[in-house]
Amino acid sequence: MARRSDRRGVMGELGAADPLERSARFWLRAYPRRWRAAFGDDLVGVLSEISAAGTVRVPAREAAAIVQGGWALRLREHPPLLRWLGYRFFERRLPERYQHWVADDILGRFWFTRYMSAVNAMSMVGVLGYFWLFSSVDPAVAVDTVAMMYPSMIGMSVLLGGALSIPRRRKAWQRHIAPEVPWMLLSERDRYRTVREARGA
Amino acid sequence: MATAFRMTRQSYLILLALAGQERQHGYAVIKLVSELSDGDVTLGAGTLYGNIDRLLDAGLVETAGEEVVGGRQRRYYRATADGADLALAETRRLAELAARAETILGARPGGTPIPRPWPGAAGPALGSV
Repeated sequence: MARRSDRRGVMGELGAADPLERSARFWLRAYPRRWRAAFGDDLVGVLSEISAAGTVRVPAREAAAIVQGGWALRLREHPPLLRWLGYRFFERRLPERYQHWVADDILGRFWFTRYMSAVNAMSMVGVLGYFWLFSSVDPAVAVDTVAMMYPSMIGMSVLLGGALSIPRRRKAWQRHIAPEVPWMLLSERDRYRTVREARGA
Repeated sequence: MATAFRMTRQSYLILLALAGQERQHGYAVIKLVSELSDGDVTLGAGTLYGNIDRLLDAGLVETAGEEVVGGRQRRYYRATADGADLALAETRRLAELAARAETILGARPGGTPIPRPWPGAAGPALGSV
């Protein structure tokens, strides 16, 4: 059977526009970003080598195996519930073996939303406690109010996440991972300084 | 960090493929697994990497360098000492199971002797697989 890899160009490369590669990279999102950076090309290359010529889409069984593998990895690396609650709600540092998961979490697209969900949940618990202890407001009304406020606060954090999240992410990285932060978490001024120092050296 | 490892047929065959002298890349592992299983097991890329992840996590397999071949990064893998030990232990366990099965089935009335694919009771040495 003719293999797909037989039909590659002179350099044997598959461009980003290759439909099979695009399809594979879509399913690869099941894996954490860090894993994709390390092993993604490798998996796409193997998939291309074993696929029959003319294949433009990852077959369903293969896609299911990729998704299963990706989520199995995510679940294996996920901290247990109590440790996760401590990390998410009280900013407790997780043991070393969860550092990869923490790094993925902080660099993840919706980190600010996850962070603000926890902060907002803590605030709401505080507000409810206040009403319950010190106010004559009907508890049912207080719960309704909080239930209405919570989604709107989450929505705000989604809208503002892009602009506000970098300094927060940087602090989280320094607290949970290491004092040195990755390039994407540096401020403009720090990036400029880093480049200037590198040129000077 | 080594963790408890659930050995499946696929992970056993992958571990065997990586337990030889040579480091192997993903496509070679798929071909070796097919040869080892006499064509019974054909791994897809997703299944291969799902198993390699588990083997890496358990400290049974390690990465062994990478090369750029045909404009694409190709990563190599090999079994660690723990991985080779586990492959050997699993091979012995399967050989002992096969020997017990042979005893039971051979004792049936009118049963025919089961031809062995290898000489001896304990099965082949790991290096010869």
